[in-house]
Amino acid sequence: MRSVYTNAEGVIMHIDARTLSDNTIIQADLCIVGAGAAGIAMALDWNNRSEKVVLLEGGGFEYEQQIQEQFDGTADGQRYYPLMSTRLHYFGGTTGHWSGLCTPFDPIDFKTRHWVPESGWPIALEDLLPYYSKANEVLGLSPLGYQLSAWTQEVPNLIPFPLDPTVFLSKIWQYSKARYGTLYRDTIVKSNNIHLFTYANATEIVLGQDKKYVREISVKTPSGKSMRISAKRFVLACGSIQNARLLLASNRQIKPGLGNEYDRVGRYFMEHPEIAAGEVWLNKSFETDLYFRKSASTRVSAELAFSATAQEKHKLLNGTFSLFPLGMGQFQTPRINLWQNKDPRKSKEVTAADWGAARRKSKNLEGAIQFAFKLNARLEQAPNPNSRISLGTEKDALGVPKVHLHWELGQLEKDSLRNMCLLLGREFGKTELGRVRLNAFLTDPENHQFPDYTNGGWHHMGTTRMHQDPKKGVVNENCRIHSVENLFIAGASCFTTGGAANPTLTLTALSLRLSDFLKKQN
Amino acid sequence: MKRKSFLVLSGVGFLALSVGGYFGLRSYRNRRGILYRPESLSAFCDDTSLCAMGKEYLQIHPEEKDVKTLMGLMGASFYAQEATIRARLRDNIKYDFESDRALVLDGWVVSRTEGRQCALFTLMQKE
Repeated sequence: MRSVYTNAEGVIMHIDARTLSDNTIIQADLCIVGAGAAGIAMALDWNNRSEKVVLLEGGGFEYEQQIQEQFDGTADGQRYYPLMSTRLHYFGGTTGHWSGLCTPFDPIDFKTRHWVPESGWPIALEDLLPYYSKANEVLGLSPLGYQLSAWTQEVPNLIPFPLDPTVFLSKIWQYSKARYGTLYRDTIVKSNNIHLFTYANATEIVLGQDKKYVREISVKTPSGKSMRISAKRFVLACGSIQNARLLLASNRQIKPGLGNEYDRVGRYFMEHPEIAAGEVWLNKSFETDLYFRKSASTRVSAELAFSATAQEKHKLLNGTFSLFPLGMGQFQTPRINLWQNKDPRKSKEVTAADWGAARRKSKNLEGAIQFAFKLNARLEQAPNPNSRISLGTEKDALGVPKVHLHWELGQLEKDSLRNMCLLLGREFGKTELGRVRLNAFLTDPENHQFPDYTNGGWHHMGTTRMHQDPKKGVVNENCRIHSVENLFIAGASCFTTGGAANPTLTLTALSLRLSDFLKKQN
Repeated sequence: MKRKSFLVLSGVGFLALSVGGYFGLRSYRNRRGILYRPESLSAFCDDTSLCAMGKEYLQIHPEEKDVKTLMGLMGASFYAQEATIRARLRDNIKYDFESDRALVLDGWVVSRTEGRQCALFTLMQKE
């Protein structure tokens, strides 16, 4: 494998940090830590500018077990996947195996909702709209956007169920095929101003004497060689777990960790609980392509969503239902039971094999089940300070404490999901479309637990949440750590609430907004 | 001749009564079936499931635990025309869903009327 890449002028733009001498010092205008969805989107936005940008990636260009092990950790609370298997540690990050589902957050997601404690972002959807357009481009998505009406010409037969439009919406998803590791590798390594360092793991953030500015970031290679990055501004873009980990582990100068003066770093860890909530049985066939992935300029489909009015009236968290043919769905094992190997490649194989077996078993089914669907819910998790990332007792090979996850779901999530199912059930009855059946874990309204086969969407959010008040959040509205003037966070860890949409489109938009802010600061 | 006429008339009369009785009984059974088998749910649920739903309904509403009470609450009669019974049930079910008179039985989101139909089904199984 090449360890050095040069640009057209012969300047080295990609450096394998393992080839550097120990204690090398690198200087830059902007240092971005992490070459995943957020970090690469930001770096691309700084391409071909005069500023020197250093982009640090802990891994190389391919999966390597030894590197991946730096993502290992422990977990308790609501059952979760092995932490090591939930992200990818190489150039491109988790875009290396994501399913590509993209849709923006809803306006209500940013608002303070009286029934959702600690909700309310310091920014509104309007603040992100220009960046959603740019994020769409980065992710290779269609400019047609996310309104059903925009797609009906390109894809015929996108007919929604005739449900009450004041309660139910069709939330449109586009499916990105972007794998940043291959898609943007050349652009980055051939850039004139972006210097990519692979095998460069940030291990500590070091403040200056006044403790208000970051002086440098300490970096180690897998073999333990050290280097230091000095820059005017720093952006952590390592994902919600690693961002919190690095801040907490940088605790030599400030005891509880950087930005953690009020014990907020790592808290409010959010996921999207994803679970088969029930079944929909139609009275007769309903001819539509809306709820199933259809190929167009990008693949597109819709999920059943709930209007802001309905969310407020019924005190619901945001959430959606996707439909999957029950004939096959009834034979599928919950993902969390399959994805238990620490090696994400092996977990993926097990999952694919289970799906293949389910497909084979479901062949030639007849009768009413042909018009029946598994109701897969994706739910917003309410902000909860007890759901958190903290430092574990063990250290990784580079001497950085491993993380411990305590994932905690509560009554609001369970009540919301049950009420969403009831609303849909009543509506299907009212419209004579069919009937809805709740799965057993939802039938007892007094049971507020989620079963241990509840999946997460591998969506890590909220560990450095955005809030104007430093006592309630880690970053301000510009994604800057409250207590440090030149340290910023890019990615879903800044989310104040997690919405029901998969986070990548929004975290990309938010990162591009941060990028714009930094450019204007110049 | 008179004897022959008597035999023919008796035969015709017997046949008419038998056929009428047969169709009458069949119609009665149909009407019963319409009442105690929720039309929509029956497409998805077997008898065991309907029975389980009926039992659950009667646990929630023990005061409705006899055929006469259930029939009265449903405003139904075994002696009405089939089409009339169907139309009334359909209207009641729609009204239930529209007015939040839905409940969860064995996981199914059903109307109160359907719940009563299942209860009736359970009670009829015992008879």
